[in-house]
Amino acid sequence: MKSDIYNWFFLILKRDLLIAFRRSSTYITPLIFFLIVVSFFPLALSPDQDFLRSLAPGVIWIAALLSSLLAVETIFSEDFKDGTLDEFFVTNEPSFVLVFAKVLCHWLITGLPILLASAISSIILYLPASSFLPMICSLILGTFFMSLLGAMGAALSLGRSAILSSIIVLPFSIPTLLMGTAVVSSAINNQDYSGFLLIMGAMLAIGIPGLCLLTVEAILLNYE
Amino acid sequence: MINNLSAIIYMDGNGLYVWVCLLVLILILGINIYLPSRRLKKIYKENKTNGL
Amino acid sequence: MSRIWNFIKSWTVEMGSPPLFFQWSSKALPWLAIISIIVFSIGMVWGIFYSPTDYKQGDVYRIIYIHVPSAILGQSILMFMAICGFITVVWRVKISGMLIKSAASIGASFTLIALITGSIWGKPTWGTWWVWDARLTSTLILFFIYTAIIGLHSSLDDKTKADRAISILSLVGIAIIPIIKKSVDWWYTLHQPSTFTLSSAPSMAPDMYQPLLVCVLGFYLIFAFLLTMNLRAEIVFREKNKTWVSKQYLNRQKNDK
Repeated sequence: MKSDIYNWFFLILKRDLLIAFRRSSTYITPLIFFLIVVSFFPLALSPDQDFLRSLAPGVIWIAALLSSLLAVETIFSEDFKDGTLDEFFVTNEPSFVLVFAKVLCHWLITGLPILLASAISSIILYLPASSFLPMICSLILGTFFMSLLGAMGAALSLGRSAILSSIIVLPFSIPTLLMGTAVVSSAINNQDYSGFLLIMGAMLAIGIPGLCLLTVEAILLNYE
Repeated sequence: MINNLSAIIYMDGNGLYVWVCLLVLILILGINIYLPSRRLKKIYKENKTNGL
Repeated sequence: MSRIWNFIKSWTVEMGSPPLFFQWSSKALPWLAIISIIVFSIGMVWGIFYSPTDYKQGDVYRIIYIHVPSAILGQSILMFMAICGFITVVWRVKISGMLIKSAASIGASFTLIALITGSIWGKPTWGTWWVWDARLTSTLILFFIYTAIIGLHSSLDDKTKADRAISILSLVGIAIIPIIKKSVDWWYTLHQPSTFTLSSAPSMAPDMYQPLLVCVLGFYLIFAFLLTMNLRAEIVFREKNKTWVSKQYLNRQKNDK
């Protein structure tokens, strides 16, 4: 029996999305967390407009990284606990597709709320309207890369504490942070930002096959 | 000769920085030598007490 | 060609089997220690006592003979770990997994030395202990990566599993290090113009450059020595319930006394 890879991919995506939507906390938590973190900066530092505008790229990106890693260990841990993951790996379907579907699902339920939250924060941090589009583009690329990295961290620390996966992943997320803030701050200063976006896209293009394969390898560690 | 040596150690007031760096290097390398040898000794002792 | 390859493969597998490695490394270890300490001392003494004084920075620049080799080592140990990690993931060679674990703590130590000496060097030249200079920043990130690798290994109980986990992590690390260096450079130029670089290697005088090369060589030898020591401890620790350990290791200890 040879079934279509696309069917398999959409089956898993649909299943995971359904599970996520039944539990509203999965997609509301990153949104609220993001907004709380962002609102702390004016409270702690200064409500001055120019100051906040210069701070905004960094604040938005730090909040985005933290909130995308908030629930990252749930990508595999629940399926691992109840044995569904074993069943997925026993089937003849390519496990690469499984991992990619799970990463995409995680991005849909955390990345999209983050985009919404960043749109709100760009208003409360007085970002100029011209930098809105580059910010969204960079966040799309960056949060997807973070989901890939987070999936790898979650797979490596499967069955361990949740904080471990964040500690593993955060040092590797620094290029994303630097590129993302570079895009937004160049856009604020009316400089060319396309180069940074291209680099982020290239990182994503290498990351999708590379990190998914390594994630498969990391999950297989638990089945020996 | 003694004058010369103290001049080398003093290095126009910068000697302290250089010697502290050297100290840090030797200290950390020393820890790296000490830890594995302690580990080996510990296992050796364990083996001995287990009656071999 | 294939015969040569097979010979290399069988030879490395044989020499890399834990009991044999333990045997020949106990003979090689004293020699390695002597050679590495001699080269290391030559480099240090040459650099600190006999190299000329820099006209700009004075004698403080002599920290270069500690700082630069340890920074080089910090990066090349990660590369070494990535190679071992590839071997561990693909061929499941047992000893390369132990190698990667033993190398991690040494790499972290060298990176820490580079960070501390860099900030000590910063005090007389820049006036502060820490500057967000591009190189110091990327070294700091390198140190974080090492801590992530060590933390992951210590959190997993099954050590062969932990070996393979950190192999995966070091493979990601080696892929991301060039990106980090490049992005930190861009970040640095975006925020402040580069006014002063810590070490300008190509423009150095040969009198200063030659001891630096000896120092780098000495540091590599020290790394080999530390790695062998760590690996021996690791092997004995992992295989302490096997008979060869109690036989060989205990015998050797008795002969020493």
